[in-house]
Amino acid sequence: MKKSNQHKADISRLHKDKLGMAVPEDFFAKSKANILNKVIKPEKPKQSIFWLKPIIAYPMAASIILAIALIFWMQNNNTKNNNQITNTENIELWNSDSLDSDFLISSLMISDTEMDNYLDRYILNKIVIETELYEQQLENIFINSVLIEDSLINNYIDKSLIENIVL
Amino acid sequence: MNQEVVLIKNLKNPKLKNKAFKDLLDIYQERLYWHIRKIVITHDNANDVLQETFIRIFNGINNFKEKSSLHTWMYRIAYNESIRFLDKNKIKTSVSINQDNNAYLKNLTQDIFFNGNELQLKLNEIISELSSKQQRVFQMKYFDDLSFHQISDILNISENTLKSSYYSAVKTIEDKILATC
Repeated sequence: MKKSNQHKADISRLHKDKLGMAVPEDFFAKSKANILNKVIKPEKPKQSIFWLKPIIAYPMAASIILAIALIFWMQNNNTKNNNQITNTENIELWNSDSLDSDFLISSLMISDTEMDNYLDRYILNKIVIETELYEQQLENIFINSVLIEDSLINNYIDKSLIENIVL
Repeated sequence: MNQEVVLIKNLKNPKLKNKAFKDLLDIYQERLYWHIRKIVITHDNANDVLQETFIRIFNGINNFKEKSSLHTWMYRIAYNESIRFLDKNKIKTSVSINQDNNAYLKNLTQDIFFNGNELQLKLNEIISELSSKQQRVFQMKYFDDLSFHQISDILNISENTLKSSYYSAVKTIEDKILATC
């Protein structure tokens, strides 16, 4: 190495003395740093999940997978129980006890068209038909009463006529 | 074990490569710089080519077949990189007798890291007037202290031809220097 340093000093001096060529101060140190920066990339710390011993790592991995599977299963199960009301038939079937906040939120999911259809059917069934039935009942009562009254009057007239005329 | 053999072995070992490359730079950086500088003339150009050379050496060390010495292999890379740089940038480094050598001298004297006196400038001028082959042989032999065998490996020219070119170049330079004095 000593010989090498001597040679370096000689070679620089030779070029300066014979050819008049010079280099900036500390050029070789800076150039060396530049070259090393270009070719040697800083090593990134290895991030591995396998740094644990297998005896710990495998059961841990299995537990994590089991926990994830359990969470998914529970979520799916919960979704089945919490059937959202998406049509008016479900509303009809819905128990009044279930009219809680979930019901209100779920009812917001019903489309306007479905709601209109439901109201039309409701008006037809509950209001129009029932009103008609009610009117028909009244009419029947009225007719019945008229008929009864007529027969009574007739009976009364007949009876009084017989008494007056015959007696 | 020979120092160069150990260095090559370490350079080819991924775990030891970085450390070995730093050692390589310590040993050869300056020598290769001056080899390149004489070909590309200015310091800035030499700096660029030097960096490219060492990047090629780092990336190509695994392809080094060890048919020649590491030293010769690196000089060949440096020489090829310098010639590629000159071709790419169309830089003139030599002039024929009938040509105006202003371009070469302009390149040389415009470099802020050239501070040669009249005699040094004259030597540069005389060297630039040699044929391209004579220039390279003279520079490698006289300034870089390479053997004819090594120069033959780098330039891919027979040793006898090189010797002939070198002695012819020396004679020309001596004659011109004497004529100046």
